[in-house]
Amino acid sequence: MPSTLLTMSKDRPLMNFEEFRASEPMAEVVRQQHEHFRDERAAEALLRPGALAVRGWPEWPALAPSKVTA
Amino acid sequence: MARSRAVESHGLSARAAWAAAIAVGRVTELVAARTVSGESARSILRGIAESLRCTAAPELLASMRERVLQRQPTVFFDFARDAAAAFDDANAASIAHVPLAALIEAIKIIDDVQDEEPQCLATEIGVDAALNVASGALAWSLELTAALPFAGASWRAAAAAIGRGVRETAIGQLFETTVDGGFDEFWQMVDRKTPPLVATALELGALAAGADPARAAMLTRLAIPLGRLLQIGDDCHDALGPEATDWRTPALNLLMRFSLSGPRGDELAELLRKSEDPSSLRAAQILLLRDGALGYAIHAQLATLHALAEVIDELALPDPAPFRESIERHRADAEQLLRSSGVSEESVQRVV
Repeated sequence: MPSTLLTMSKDRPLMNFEEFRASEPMAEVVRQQHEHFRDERAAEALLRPGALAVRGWPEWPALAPSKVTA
Repeated sequence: MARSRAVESHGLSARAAWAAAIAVGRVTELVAARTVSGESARSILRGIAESLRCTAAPELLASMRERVLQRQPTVFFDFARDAAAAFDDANAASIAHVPLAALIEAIKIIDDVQDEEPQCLATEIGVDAALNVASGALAWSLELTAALPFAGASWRAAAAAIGRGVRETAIGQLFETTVDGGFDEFWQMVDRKTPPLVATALELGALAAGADPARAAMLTRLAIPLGRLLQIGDDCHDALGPEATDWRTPALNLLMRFSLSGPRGDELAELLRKSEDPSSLRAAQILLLRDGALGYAIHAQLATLHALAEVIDELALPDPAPFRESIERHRADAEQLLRSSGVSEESVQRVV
């Protein structure tokens, strides 16, 4: 198994937390999310059951439904 | 005191089960690599399986088999199917479904004991009985591996893939219990925990479709990015989902780690101390959303998808379309999640 981070892209590197916070345009994304979620109803809407249930965001890796039968 | 003894006891039981799994996996790899004839190797695997299942009650084993057979294929089967499709025979992967599902069942049972899941097999029948069933599930996977209708080198490669998947997953699970470090250590934990089984699924799928063992092994390069994608999604659910479970172990969750390391870390830590209280838990979840933790998870998802696409290009597969389609679906979902969290279309296009 290749070691950590070797498989990450040079064009689009995985930033660490500090780099992420300091970077544009990610800082702008975070600013917009912060504004959006200041409205408690917007936060509640995303936290309601099923709101994160999109493909690739499974409930548990081993029990995520197969796209073949789901 | 009683609870801490019980917790310690469960932890010890899980660690012992992982240690046994490491031994079984290693022996399976050695049998696959070193035995003189394929028939001897298959026979030895059946013998190991017989020893493994002897501690579990027959009715519990029967119930476990029924449960596994009735369950829908998991996302790991999708990896096997995409790998088989990459070698022009998606349907061939069906032969890998039950061996993989049995292996996953064994790992899930032990993982639930380690994580002290409030609802799991161990809470239904007891920790010792559940771990015996886990051994039985592992035994079943080995028996099915012994029976795989692959010839010569392909069968040996499949058996080695199963053995390696068991061993490396167990090592990753043990590593998880020691993690308390920084950013790189977090990703090392992720890369040790989930990708080994992804690699096994990919290799079995490719072998089932007739890929030669060397080409099938190359597909395991996809395991780390695919495993990371699974783990990032898992962490989002475990932090933000309706049955969020990671609040007891925040160092193991990407989103919590992000916010704990930032300017609102103390505030989150205080909420974490009271996370048994539903209102504190909800306040902590909203803090994660406002603090950019979900944004970081989406960034990690997009960076991983980019890396995955590069590896797929390098592999020059006969038919990379199934993997590429999967990347596009993930990317579309990440974009949608950005939009539904208030990010403007202009910003979405800048970061995707």
